Amino acid sequence: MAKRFTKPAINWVELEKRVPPEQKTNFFAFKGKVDSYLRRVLANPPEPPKINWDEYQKSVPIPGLVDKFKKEYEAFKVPFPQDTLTSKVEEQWKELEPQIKAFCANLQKEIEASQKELQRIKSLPKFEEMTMEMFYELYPDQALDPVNKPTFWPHTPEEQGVSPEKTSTKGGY
Amino acid sequence: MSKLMFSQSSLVIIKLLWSKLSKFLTMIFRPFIQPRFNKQFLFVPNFILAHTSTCPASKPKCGASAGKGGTTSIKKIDFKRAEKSAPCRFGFIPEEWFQFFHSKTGVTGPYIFGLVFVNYLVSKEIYVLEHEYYSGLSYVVILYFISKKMAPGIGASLDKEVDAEIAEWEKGRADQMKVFETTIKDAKDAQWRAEGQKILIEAKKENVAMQLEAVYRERAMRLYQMVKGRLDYHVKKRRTENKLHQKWMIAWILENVHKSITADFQKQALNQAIKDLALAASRVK
Repeated sequence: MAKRFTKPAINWVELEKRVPPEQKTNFFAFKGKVDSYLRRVLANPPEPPKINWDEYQKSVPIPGLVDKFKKEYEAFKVPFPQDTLTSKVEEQWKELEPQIKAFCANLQKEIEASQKELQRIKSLPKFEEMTMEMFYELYPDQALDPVNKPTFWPHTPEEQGVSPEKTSTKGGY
Repeated sequence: MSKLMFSQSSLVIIKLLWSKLSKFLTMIFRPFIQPRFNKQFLFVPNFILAHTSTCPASKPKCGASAGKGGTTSIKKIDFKRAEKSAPCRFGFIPEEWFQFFHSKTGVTGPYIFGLVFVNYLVSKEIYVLEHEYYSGLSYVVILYFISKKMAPGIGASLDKEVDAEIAEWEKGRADQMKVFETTIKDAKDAQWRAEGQKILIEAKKENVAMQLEAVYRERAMRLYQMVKGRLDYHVKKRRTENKLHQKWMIAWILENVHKSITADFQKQALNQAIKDLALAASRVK
């Protein structure tokens, strides 16, 4: 016979904390079911009360009835119902566990990549302590490059050069 | 031929003298004449190239690009842009020149040297005191007083603008870091929640156990109630029968008694009762 249920042993507070917000309704439905099962269990005591055979021995007129009942009652074992579903739950867990592991491993990879990026950014020198040469090496697209890409002061995009359309003399003087 | 020989020998002598002199000079000035930029045998003494700590000879290379693509290994860059210019006296004479003099001539050495040098220049009219000199002098005096009065204020406001710009750049970087940090946090959170599924599976097992237990208890209770019910039935049946028997028996007895009381018997009972009463009355007196 399997272990008998005596007390609820699940930490519901912990489980509720771990449920993501979008699955809270499912969680509450599940909890409702669990509560109904618990109520059904608690409706009856774990052992039925004892029958007082001596009292009945005195009062019951039919001879031998009490003895017969007593013998058969004590010999009879209430059958504990068959457990068919625990194996299914175990199967579910077997399927679920590697999925969880794979999911966590993926996330771990992401975490590590992010951490590496974070380290890289942290190791960069502060802008206050950077020289113009260092800036050119770290941000080549944003630094001034007078040799390859000379720009006019004040080095903003709108002040660079006069486009041919603007200086066209089509309109005449 | 002799001329040639003489010039050759003189060359030799000059070369010898020069080598001796240079050796003597290097011996004296060795600590200050460290070769720098010696790639092209450029012999530049250290003390002239002052501020080498703020303007180093070789540029430090940054290990990687700070943009999106750079994730190669980062070399720690120890070099920092100097915030203030190198120390100098009178605003334009580098401190290193004074250090150069210090070991030989003490503290007053460079000043004396400066005075003497300026005296030489002015007295020999190498530096001519003409109109430009006097206007330059006036400029210097005016600028000195202006700088004394207004430099701190101007400096502070300019510093504020620079700080604002730097803060903007740093904010961009901080935002980047925050993105990564939130990613890490969310990923860790998701991992933690996924592990909570174990508790869920245990809850399911407990559900199954609860249902089994509920059924078992119901069965046990049912058995008990059935057996008890049977026994109670027999007990109750017997008691009810007994009650009925008693009731009818009493009724039958009473009926018979009433029947057996004839008139004759009644008269006798009455007389007997009167006699007993008289006896009781006489005894009471």
